[in-house]
Amino acid sequence: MDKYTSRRLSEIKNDFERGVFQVVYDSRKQRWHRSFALMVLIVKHVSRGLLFSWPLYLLALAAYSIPDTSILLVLFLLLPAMYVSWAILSRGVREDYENLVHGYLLRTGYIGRIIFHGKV
Amino acid sequence: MFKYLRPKEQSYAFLQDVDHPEKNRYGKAIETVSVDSELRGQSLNINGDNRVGENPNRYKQHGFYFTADNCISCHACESACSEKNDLEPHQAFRAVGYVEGGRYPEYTRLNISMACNHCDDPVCLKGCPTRAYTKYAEYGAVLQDPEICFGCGYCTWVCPYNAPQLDHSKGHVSKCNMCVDRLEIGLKPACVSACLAGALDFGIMETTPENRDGLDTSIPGFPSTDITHPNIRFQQKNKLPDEMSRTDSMPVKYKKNAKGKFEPHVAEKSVSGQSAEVEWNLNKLSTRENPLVIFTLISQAVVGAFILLFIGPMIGLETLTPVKNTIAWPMFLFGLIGIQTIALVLSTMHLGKPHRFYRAFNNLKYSPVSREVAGIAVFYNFIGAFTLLTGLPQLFFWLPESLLQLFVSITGWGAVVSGLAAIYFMHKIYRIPARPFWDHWQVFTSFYGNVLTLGPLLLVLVFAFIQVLNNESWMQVVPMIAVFVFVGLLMEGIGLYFHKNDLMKSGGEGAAAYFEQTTKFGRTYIARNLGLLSGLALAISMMVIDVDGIAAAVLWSGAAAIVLLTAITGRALFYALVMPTTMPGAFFWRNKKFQEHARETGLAEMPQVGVLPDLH
Repeated sequence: MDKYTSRRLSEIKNDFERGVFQVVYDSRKQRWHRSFALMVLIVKHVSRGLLFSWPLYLLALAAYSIPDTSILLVLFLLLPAMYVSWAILSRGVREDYENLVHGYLLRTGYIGRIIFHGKV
Repeated sequence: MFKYLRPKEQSYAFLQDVDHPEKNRYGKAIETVSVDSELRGQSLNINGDNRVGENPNRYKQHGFYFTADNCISCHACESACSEKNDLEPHQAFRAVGYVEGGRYPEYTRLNISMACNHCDDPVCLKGCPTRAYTKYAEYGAVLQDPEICFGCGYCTWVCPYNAPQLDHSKGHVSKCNMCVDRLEIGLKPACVSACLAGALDFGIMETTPENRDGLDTSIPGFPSTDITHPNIRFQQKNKLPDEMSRTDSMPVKYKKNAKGKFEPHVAEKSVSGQSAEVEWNLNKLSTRENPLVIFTLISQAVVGAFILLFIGPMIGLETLTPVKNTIAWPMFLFGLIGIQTIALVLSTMHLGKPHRFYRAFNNLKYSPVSREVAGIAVFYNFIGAFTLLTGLPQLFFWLPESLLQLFVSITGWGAVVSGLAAIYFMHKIYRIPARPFWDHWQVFTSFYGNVLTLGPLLLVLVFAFIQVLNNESWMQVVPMIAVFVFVGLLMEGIGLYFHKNDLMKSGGEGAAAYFEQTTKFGRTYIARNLGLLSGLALAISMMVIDVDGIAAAVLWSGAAAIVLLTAITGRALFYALVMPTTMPGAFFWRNKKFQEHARETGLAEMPQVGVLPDLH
């Protein structure tokens, strides 16, 4: 446990504590925090993915920039690229969400923890 | 002490507080950290419990003691470990294997129970690109975090003892954790406490447990201790035959040398006395490492092709300038990015957890995998930027010409340097003492040989095709490119020649792998060598014979096909043949041949067999 999150629901054994936790967890504020955290995770993973894979998208851009190129060629290059990116990024986002967001009560400063993966 | 001890815990399960020397036999202090170290007094935070264990010997290097004479191969240690760590049937942090020798009625069997040796110099820790390993001050335990691991399996390559276990179903590695939770409350590890015969013991290193007097560092079948300085000591006093054989499918036997120590040798005949036949076994060339065959070959080809394309005009290959090839130039560069992308995607998807790919950069200080990945990533980005600047210059109309040329030069040279560096680190990945077949400079000549061979071939095929379509001669580039191909193939050939000689001289697992190359894959090996020689002959003829047009295109295509097939076969053999200096397996357990049999016959579908149905 760190100062930016609570204990996880699964770690709480006491029924009363679990009840209180659940009420706070379901509150509008916590739901907003979780939605925002999810968005931050998506931006983080997409940015990191693009850092390594942008030449892949360059291929589609190059095809698009050639005059009279068939849209099918662009799609042929773009769709596999997007599929691979999706396959990798979605798993990364899901794993981080599960490890850093799901089941926690999020407190001020949690964004840093999400971005730097627990190093804050 | 913690209050978690069972009320009737047996006395043999408790750790002993005994005197110990200051240093171990490798010269390393038994005390893991100094008395005033800030590493002391920290919690191991086991299962969220942040209390600090009160074991008085918490900061002393511990390890296993194995008395081989007592082991009856009951596998109680394996069972206890599996139960304690909740392992799947196909996993074992501790395994019992055996070697055997002599003939009835003097048949002798030597059982060996082995787990992680929590080495002084853990190569798994240095090799892991994600930094999933830590050597703790507490008990000197080498612990691995599966939550950090991305499942590349490199630690399973570098460990000589087969300690880290790559679980293909979960996509990550896990290993023996020394039962540090038990040590914290003064108990020996689960496997030791479960040993029925008094074979396995545990304690502070270089102390002599009860009922023992020997502290040897080796036993027949145990790899060299020079690689990692393992924290295990053996006792084996019963007389053994001069020759001991493995019962798994690895063609290695152990012979006693003049000093009475056992050394690995090639077992040219099986245990039943059968000689090996020379075969093709093409289907067995396909391994779990197939994506790496493609990744390494493509990366080497792309680096070679780019270097020739970039420096070609500087060394007189005017045909390769963008001015002379307004369409071919960008198309070729985009093509290089395309096939490099395929290689990168394949190598990433080959990981147990591909979405953790970015962790490959975590251990640049030690891991050749981290350095190789960084090199390839930098190369990929430079080649992307170079392609953007030269292939789509219309996007940069706003940039002054001089500045554009400067960026072109920087990105081009950046790609050349990073590409060559990436291939260097790629070769370093395979220089593993625990895999003698790979641990030879031939890997260097092979990888850079492929840069010189495959790259220019790729380039010439595309350019020749375009020149032929334009009814223009392309022969002016041929002699120089043929020189590159020739030098590359020659490097490969020289490396292979010395590789063979050195393996035969060194003996052991390296020579055993070479033996398999000339028997199990014998025909494939001959075909590969013939391909290499044909490629050399064709390269020489290209340098001296004056042919042009379609005839030359056909000849070059033939040469390219032969060279490519040779390269793929050679690389597939490279992965299929390697034999680790690992501990002996048993007739069923950790026996490659039995695993193949189980997969072929469907036995592997039954979880209790302990073999995963499919690896790739």
